Amino acid sequence: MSSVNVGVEERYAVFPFYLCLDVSASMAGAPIDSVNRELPLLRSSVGEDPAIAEVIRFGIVTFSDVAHTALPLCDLSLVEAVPELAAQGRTSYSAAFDHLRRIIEDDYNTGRAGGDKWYRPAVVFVSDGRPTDDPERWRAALGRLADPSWRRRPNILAFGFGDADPSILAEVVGSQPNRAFVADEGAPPSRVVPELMSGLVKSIVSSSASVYTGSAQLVVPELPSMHAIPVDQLD
Amino acid sequence: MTDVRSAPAGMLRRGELRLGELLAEGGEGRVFALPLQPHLVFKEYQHPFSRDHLRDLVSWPEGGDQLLAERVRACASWPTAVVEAQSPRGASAALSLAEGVVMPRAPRRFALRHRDGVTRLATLSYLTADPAYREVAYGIELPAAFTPERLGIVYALARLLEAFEKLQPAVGHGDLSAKNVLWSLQRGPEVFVIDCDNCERFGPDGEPGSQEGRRRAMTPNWDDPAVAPGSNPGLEADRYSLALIFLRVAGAANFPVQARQRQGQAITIEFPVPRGYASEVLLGPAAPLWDMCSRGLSLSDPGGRPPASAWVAELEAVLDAVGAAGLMRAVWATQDGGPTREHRVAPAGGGADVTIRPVVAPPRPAPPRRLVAATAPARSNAQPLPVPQTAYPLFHEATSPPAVSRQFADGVVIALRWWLGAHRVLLRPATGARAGRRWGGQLALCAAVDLAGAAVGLFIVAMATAPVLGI
Repeated sequence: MSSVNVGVEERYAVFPFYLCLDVSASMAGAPIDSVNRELPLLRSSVGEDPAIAEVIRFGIVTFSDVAHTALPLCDLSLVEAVPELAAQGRTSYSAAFDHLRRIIEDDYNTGRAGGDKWYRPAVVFVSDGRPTDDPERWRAALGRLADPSWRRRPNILAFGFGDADPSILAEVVGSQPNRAFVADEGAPPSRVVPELMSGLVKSIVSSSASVYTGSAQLVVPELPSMHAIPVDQLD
Repeated sequence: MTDVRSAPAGMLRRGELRLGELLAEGGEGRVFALPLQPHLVFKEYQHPFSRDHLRDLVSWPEGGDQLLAERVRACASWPTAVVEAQSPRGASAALSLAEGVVMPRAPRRFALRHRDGVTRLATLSYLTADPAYREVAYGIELPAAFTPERLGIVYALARLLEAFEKLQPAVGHGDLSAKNVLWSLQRGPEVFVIDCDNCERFGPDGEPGSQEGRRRAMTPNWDDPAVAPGSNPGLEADRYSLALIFLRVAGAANFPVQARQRQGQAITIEFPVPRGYASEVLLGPAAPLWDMCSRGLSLSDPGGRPPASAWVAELEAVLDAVGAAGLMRAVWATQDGGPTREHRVAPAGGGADVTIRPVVAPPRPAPPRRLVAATAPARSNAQPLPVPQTAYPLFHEATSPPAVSRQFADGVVIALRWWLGAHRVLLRPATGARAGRRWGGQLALCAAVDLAGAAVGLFIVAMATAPVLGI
């Protein structure tokens, strides 16, 4: 029987999470304040538990007119403090999708060079509005991000509130069931955002536990003030 | 209020317990503090289960060495009382169910204070990676790989499992995961095993004591791959866990072996031994320690896994060889007992599916640096991070915020140093007009400070003595 060598350098595969957050002007005030209050809690909940931090990599991408990497993909146990986010500009989905495609590829290559193995990354897409850029443009960018021939294409979860359009969010997740969620009628952002962030923490914690089984699963958060967007029936 | 300490084998009703803070919440249920019994916790099950099983655990052991029983009480959260499910209309089904169980709370020394000031349970997770990396992440200094302290922690666990195996009837924990084994080095190497309500009693034939088909928890990554899906772990599972914990804690690495074992692959584990120990006979390539570890991890022959007592004897020999007999005695002191009387087990050829090969520890890569917010292009949040409300506060005393008293003490020391320095200057003779002016200023300042100090001191003395004198 041939034998496989296992040494100290062998590590668990990591599960990358990208929080892709709409920071357009409509997020100003209570929504962005709420995000800034919750992000440090997310950092400490995930980063201060060695068993979770070991297998989770987390990054934050913000988008408005353009997209930024607000927090590079990292082990949250090594992060001193998360950056404070500010809202401004319009809502360019294409900027977000193009940026994600680029940094996922870069992060994957950097991780591989450092000896990391990856599970398929997860993108948690959060928006409070409709895209302000040309529909053809953002759809083309989404097509590049979700391209089936691209091996690093992420699993996308989409969450919307405020003026977010459920049909567009369903499109963002490729019309997969239980991947797109929208806030209940009348649920204020001050309630939705903290729920969303604490749901994200639970999702990361549960997903990290599944990493140790050797077959990671993206656990969808349960959010009391949001409901799944129904999947269309085909003609 | 019932004092559950006085009823170690007792049954309680929920109403008899005054619940305090919610300490933890998980798949099995919730854990609450008990303000009137701060050394205990109440675990409330999400789904009530067999009262008889828990009652059997509370009354365990039925026989065996009293010293071994005390060892269990010293280093395990063993159930002390069963809390009955309430049956409003006297339904017979509820009479045989338990709503929860009362168990000892982890003593405060089984916790670590992170850089952010929050104290968290000292799980084995801290020890299963490069300690330099953990230090960068949490600001906690941990023993280097394969140091006597790490061996001592495994030794302490082996002694607890020895008691589990030798007392009557034998028990198996079944879920010796990183989160369920806490450790401390404050009084010497110690462990504290939690979630002991997961334990099962086994007869001499190895059959489990409870027959109601209870599904016992097993944590992924710490489970025995020999246990088939849907089955419960037997006594051999703890022996697998002990070998795995030795590998990961002593070696300070993940050693992810189970997935490969499940695929039926034979594995060779290259275990790093520090250069200083590499010449020790008991750690050389043919040392019995490696054979014992490979048999402990064997999937092809689970029945041949060495018992905990064999580990105890072997680790005693190794600790002695590396000059750490003092640590061994510290373990005995914390566990109420002395050395094992077992003889070391002779090598038996090892399982064919796992081989442990000691190698001289290669240098580990330099630990990464902490990421400060400045690395991110967005504006940084330089304020201290808020303290999470659920930071696993499963230890006796509430943690005090760091450094308030220390800051005060530091301030007093600085003031005293200034006072002494200033008065020392006054004792030096002043020469020249300029030095004389400076000396005069210093004298005036010292006089003012001394006068103010005397006034404050007199006021404090007056306030303290006035009630005594009836003024």
